[in-house]
Amino acid sequence: MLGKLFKYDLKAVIAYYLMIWGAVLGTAALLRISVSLSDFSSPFQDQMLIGMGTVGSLLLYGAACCACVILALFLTAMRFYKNLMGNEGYLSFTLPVTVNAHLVSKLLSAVFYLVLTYGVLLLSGVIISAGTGLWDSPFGSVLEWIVETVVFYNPLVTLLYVLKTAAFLLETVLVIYFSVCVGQLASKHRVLGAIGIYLAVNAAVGIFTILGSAVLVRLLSGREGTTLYYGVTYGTELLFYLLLCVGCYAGSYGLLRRRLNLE
Amino acid sequence: MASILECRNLEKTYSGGKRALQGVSLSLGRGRIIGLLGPNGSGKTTFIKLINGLLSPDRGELYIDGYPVGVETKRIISYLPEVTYLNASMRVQQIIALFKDFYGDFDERRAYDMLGRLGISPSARLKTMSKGTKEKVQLIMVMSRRAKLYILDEPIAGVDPAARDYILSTIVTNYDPASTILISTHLIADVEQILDDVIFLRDGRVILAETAEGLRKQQGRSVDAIFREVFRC
Repeated sequence: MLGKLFKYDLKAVIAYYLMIWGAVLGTAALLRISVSLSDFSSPFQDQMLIGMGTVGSLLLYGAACCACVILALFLTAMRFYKNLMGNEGYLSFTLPVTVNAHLVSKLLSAVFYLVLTYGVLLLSGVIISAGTGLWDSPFGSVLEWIVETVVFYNPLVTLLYVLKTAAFLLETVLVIYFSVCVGQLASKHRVLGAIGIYLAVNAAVGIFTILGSAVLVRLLSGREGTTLYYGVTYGTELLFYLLLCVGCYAGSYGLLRRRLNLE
Repeated sequence: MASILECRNLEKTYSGGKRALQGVSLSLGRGRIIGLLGPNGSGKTTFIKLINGLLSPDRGELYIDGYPVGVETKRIISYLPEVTYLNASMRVQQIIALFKDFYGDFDERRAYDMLGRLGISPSARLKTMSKGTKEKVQLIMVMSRRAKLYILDEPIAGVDPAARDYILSTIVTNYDPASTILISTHLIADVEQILDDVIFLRDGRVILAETAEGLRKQQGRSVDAIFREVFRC
């Protein structure tokens, strides 16, 4: 049943994501074209007009990238809210599937789309820089630096980095789900309540992160740039995100299982 | 034969303090059409939501076909809520595929037959349909399952008389005689002729549970007339 739920969760929002990704890639292509046309040495071109076009397409691309990330988070919240807490919840919760299956399916599909969204943003960067000198430097050197870093430091550090990034993505989605679940406990203004909880949880996480970072920096003073430094900081971040994931998942599960409030 | 639904001392109080159900104990027989009758706010929908696992009781026990409410009971209950619960952007054929994917007892051919008789295109999107047609599509999905227990929450509220006739005939002609149908409504006159049993709910309490025929003989009046007398404002 998990596979079937996952299929429907993917299908439910794919059209929206295709539009968002299309907008990012389209504006990236527009920016690339306008940069290509900026042959300022040509006496026959209106440099002012081309310059304005380039700046305009750059702004458009920046706006599309910001909108892409915000809309991805918005779609994550909307799919969860509409399908479980809205009228569709009457069908979702009467399907012969467990609450765990609902949560896991929604979590995996949301993370899948977030990863693809970051992939599209990366691809848009490739479109903009394709065929330019950026591929020799600094992009080329950045890639070399990444390879050197992985080779130089203990591969465990690289693994920790990948794991903590994955945990961060899971935490991003689970905080949204937990906020929506707490918000539905209210009899009125449930969406506002969910937004309030989301902001409060993120503020608390932010404060805790700043304090934790300060402590780590003090503890690891003089060891910056070493394997130990990265190992400890990435490991601590991974543990922190995992604890948040477990807390938010357990909270969401408990609320959906015992305090479901479809009115 | 054991009853399809058994509940003892069910209690439910909402967060605002309203006591929606108070000590409800019932046993629903198999192969019966049962009217869950009561005015607005009497606890009908709360009781139905508890049966479907959409709410949790504060106290009491509830078993359907011998199982506590959970995945097993959702396999055997076909539920029509009073709201439109289907994704409006889906096409009818996609909704049929969804029901077929999740419910092993869903009869796809029966669904397409009923759609054909009503002239509803399987490729039409739900959002392009009128409210009445959406309700019919929803009823077709629910009645195309070969479930042990059908629960229909206010299936004829807010629809025109012609649609009411269609809905009632669809219910009567499409259910398996071994199954039980629980119909919640306050429009008694329209459903009285199909009911085997009636349950009257008032302020979250069961005040009467009888066979419809027995009640009519006992009181010498229709169930509708008795309802009007009992719930007179």
